[in-house]
Amino acid sequence: MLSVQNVHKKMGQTNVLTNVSFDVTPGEIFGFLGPNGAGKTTTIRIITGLMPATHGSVTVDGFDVSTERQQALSRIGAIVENPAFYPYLTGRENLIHAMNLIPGLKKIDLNALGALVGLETKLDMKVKQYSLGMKQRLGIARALLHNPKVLILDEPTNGLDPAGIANLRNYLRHLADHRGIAILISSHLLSEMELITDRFAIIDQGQIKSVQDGEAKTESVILCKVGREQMNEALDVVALAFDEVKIIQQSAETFIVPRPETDIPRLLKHLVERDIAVYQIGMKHETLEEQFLKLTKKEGGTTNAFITSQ
Amino acid sequence: MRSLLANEFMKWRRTIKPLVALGMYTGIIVLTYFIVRSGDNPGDAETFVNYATMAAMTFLGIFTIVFTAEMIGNELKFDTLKHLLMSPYSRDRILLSKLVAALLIMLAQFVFILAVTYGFALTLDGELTLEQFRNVLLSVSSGVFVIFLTLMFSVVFKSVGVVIGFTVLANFVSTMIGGLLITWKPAIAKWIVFLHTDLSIYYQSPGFMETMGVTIWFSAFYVLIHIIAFYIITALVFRSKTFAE
Repeated sequence: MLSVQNVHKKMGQTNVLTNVSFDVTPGEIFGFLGPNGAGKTTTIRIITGLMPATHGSVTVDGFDVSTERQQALSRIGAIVENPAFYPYLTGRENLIHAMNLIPGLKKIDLNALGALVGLETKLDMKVKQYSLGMKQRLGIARALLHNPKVLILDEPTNGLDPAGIANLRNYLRHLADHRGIAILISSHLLSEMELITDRFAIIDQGQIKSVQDGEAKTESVILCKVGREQMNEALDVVALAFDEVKIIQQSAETFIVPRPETDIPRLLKHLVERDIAVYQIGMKHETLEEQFLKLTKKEGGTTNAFITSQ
Repeated sequence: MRSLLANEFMKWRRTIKPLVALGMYTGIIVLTYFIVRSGDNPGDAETFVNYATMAAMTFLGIFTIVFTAEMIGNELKFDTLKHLLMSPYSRDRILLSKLVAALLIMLAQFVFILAVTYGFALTLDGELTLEQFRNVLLSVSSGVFVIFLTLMFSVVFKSVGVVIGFTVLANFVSTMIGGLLITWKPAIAKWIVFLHTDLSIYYQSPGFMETMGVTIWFSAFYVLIHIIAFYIITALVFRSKTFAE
């Protein structure tokens, strides 16, 4: 549905994007992750026709954004950077303004659209009286106004409270599953992205570092907790049992064995046979944050601009 | 195109400024009316129309600069320009809708000024001539010119204040220098476009233009060339600029 192929963007002497490629299929929520300045917004600006690519192509439903602009852009709904409105107009007037920007759009039931994003009673208020969360919801209503095939949301959870984020998550899931909309979400809030996305790409310094699907989204390891006094003995037992596996001691009481879940019974058996008291054992999933840090080599960096939770 | 124009009119009429503008036009016309009527030598309808339209047209010039500058300046201020540029309409069409809206808004205010002025003039003695009406109509040419100039500045500069400042300054300085040159170097003065924008001057102060040896057709053509050039520059900048922060 949305295809970004070998997009390159040069500004002056700087390569802002280098061969950025990914596809978003109908009904899929695709996360576009990266720290501030990684190139997320530049990519979105190119997809939405706000900026031309130096080379490469972006197609929406088969229409090229640069050469078949009208067909391509009429299939996109987007919030770029932040939801911007005319503050002296009401929410309804802002939606009418957006309707007028789409050629050939039939009359829309704005009340129903307002109700969809929980603004049914607020549509006739001037936007300058809206909170950031209300603006965010109005922005989503505006992006969905013309029933787009591709929805692009740049940092959509900014300004939303936890309940608002949960509602948005459910709503996006509904849009993807029931209306088959391809959704691209850019964010630096990894914990949120982990809950929303089916697949994700990690971009850093203008380059896609990784595109992963939901199945392979996280690597898993066995996490085991034993008594402090038996830690050294436990490490020896595990080292003997799992030859050539690098055991990592995480704390005075926990260690990690990078093995699949099927190895838990064997590990447990070896420990129990040596009378080592096991307090806890289970799988630990590598978080998106850990994957991101691994890919962008920013572990422990003090200048890391990445925010992991709100 | 109609829907784009509807957007521009909605954004214009929902601010307080149009009401302020109409109030000021009415105020200055009413003030002129009372001065003309209650003076020691009460003026007739023709005198009133001359003074009232001259005063109101000065305000119209200022408000035209403000409204035109805000057409793009406010989009940048509210960060809403990206929504216009993301729309399936081409940038050329977006820009054209702003130009047409600015022209129609200026003309609507001009019609309002004419209606109020002639309404009051009917209560005064003396005849209103077609020649005078023609002169008033010709004076609208300076409003058209200023729209093209302001639109050009507004795609170059981000701040509405800077756009207004530059437009007023360009008008003021060029007219001042032109005025000096008419006396000393009329052959050079005739190439200053700001001296040609108000075509009614050919009937109101014909000697002024005779000094430069130009005709109304020269002025009209010279202004036309300029507004075309301004629009080409505006369209090229608007087409290529990313307007990103």
